[in-house]
Amino acid sequence: MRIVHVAKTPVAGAMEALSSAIRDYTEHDSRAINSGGKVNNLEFPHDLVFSDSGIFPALARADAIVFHQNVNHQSQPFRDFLDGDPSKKCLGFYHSHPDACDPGVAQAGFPHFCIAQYQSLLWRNAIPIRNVIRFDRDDWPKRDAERARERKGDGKLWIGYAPTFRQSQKDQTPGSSQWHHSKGYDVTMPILEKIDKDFPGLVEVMVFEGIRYDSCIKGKALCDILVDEVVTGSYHRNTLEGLALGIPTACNVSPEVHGVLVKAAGANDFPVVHATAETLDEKLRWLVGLDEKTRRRMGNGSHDWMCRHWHPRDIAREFCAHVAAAPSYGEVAAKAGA
Amino acid sequence: MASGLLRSFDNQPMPGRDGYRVPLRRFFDVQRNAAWGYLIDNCKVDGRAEGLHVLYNYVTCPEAFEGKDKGGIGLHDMGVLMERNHEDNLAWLRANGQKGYRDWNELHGKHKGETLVIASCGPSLTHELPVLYRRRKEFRLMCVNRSLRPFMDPDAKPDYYYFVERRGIPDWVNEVEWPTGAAKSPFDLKGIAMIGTPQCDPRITRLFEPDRCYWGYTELGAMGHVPECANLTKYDVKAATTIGNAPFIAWKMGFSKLILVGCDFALDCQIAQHPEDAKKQIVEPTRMYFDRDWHQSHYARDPGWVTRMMPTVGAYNRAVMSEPILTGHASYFSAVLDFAHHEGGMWCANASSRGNLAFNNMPLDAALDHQTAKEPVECASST
Repeated sequence: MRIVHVAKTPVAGAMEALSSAIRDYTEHDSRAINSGGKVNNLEFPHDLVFSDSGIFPALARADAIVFHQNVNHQSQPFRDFLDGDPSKKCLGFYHSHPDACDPGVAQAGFPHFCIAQYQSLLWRNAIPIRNVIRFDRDDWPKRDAERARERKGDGKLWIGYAPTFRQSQKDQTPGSSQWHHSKGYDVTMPILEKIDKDFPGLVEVMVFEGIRYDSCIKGKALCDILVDEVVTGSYHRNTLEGLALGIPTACNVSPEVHGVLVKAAGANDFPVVHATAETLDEKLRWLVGLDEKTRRRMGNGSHDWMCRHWHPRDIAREFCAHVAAAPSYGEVAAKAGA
Repeated sequence: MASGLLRSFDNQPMPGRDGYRVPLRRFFDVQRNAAWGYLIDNCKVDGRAEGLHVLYNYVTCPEAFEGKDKGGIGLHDMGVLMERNHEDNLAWLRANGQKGYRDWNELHGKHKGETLVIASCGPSLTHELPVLYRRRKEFRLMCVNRSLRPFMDPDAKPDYYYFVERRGIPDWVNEVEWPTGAAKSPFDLKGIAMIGTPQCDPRITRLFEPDRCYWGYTELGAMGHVPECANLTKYDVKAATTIGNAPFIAWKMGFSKLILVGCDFALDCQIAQHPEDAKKQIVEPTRMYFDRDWHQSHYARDPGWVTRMMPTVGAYNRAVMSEPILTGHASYFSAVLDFAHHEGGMWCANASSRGNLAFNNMPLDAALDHQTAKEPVECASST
């Protein structure tokens, strides 16, 4: 089976991560097409871009085309490839709040996926898929606290935080796309600044923003504690990266999202340090006060959990099984026409 | 053929820009108001005098040669451009061990009884790509201009590439940067035979293998079916569109079946409500990928022309947009096919899934499955 993924944007590298995992771990071929890896000041791994001549053989030979996030099956030239060969499968994949996505594929009755985060609660008919983190790759940084300490040179404890944007949540409607997207920057930063001041010479808060994805991951690997998001009740790729790096990671996961997550992962637990906006300060002081071995043990446990429940190999196989079971474009279109 | 009324005034070889001596001979044609032009070897490697072709110093579309700041190529004289291209092409061939232009007559009759698919640059080409890729081994493939891009796969490369443009566009033969469109790296064109004229853009021709380049003139007038056309195209190789010459080439090569894809002679468009005026609608082109030169020369200079066009065929939220120039080309091209099909004996079908060309239209699978009953008329051994 040949699968082609299409999106307009890098989708935080998620599409390329899934596509490359399919290539690496299944008998299926997979390519990802978008506008490249750059968005704003960020840069993510990418495969094919719209101007590459390679998109034509990939789309012509594809058995399935998966439209991610903000592009739908009516968009040209992709529609031509489906009309020209209705035996192809057409699917959707949503990584964000419905307000920020083009729901055309879902509305037309085609099978569709969403990532197994808060989005699963909003895309009711979607199949939840775990967000692939390529911690299995050779270039994924290895967590080594002592070496990290040597590299930093200052002996300080690093707390890492990677906001997507410096947006305020105050003016956003709770539950809206923008509210989720802002990830509580205006609430989290004052807490981190307070911790920074209260532990002079001991703690350094590192904010990662506007840099290449691989540089961001390398920076996170040097941290001792990571903070994802403590406001909306959902986790993000930041949490998964922290767990995969073997770093204690603070995050607020609501009961509903927790249910989605453990079901998708086939797990009973989720090894993050649960913290809300009210308790983040307290949880960070607790983490800072722990001895190095305890923190490392926590981190090792979370890395093991990722290997058991979130390995790219398992996610790629699960995804391909769903694609293989999907009806063809022609079948769905005929049903919709009837 | 050169007219007997041509009077040469400069028969001395001119130095080529690459250090080679290039035989450019300027002349007057007393029959045509003393228009001046160049005598060009018509690919006869033995250098015989007969069969010289004439290129007049006509500037048929001067706006295309305006300064670069106006979107032109910065050369005000098409004759100079053709002269330079000829110099560069010949110099490149000689530097690569060729005696001169390899005559495309060598290809005549080479593919007797075979099927040729010509992929043109219309936006519907993507619709046919799945079938073309699936059945690629069943036919010979010829691409023109930008239609090379979708076939840059080791198992799908075209057999032939044909172009006549004196200034090509880099993305015909190069991978390009996104989103600037700047040339990034040349395509791997090994194994693809190029057919062109000595005045073709050397930036394009030089990317092909020198011994796989065939040169010559493919004027439709040689088919003899349209006397006016014969007069028009006898001396000016650019008198017809690139795709307009392609059936003649197929016929000369001896193909018994010709299938056309991407021959839209139209642009894809969609109709949207005007945001401020409820009584108005906006027609916007949606597919420019294969039509960027059209986009640049028409739409970019005059965005209003789009809204003046009438969508002729509706399909869901997509429509096909035509305009007088394209309609004229389609009409002319259908006449060419009519001759090739009925007089030349080469079975022709249009398998483009949408557009304005009407000639034996059918789905691509059906066209490929069609069994031709008769052999094409034996074509002449040389132009």
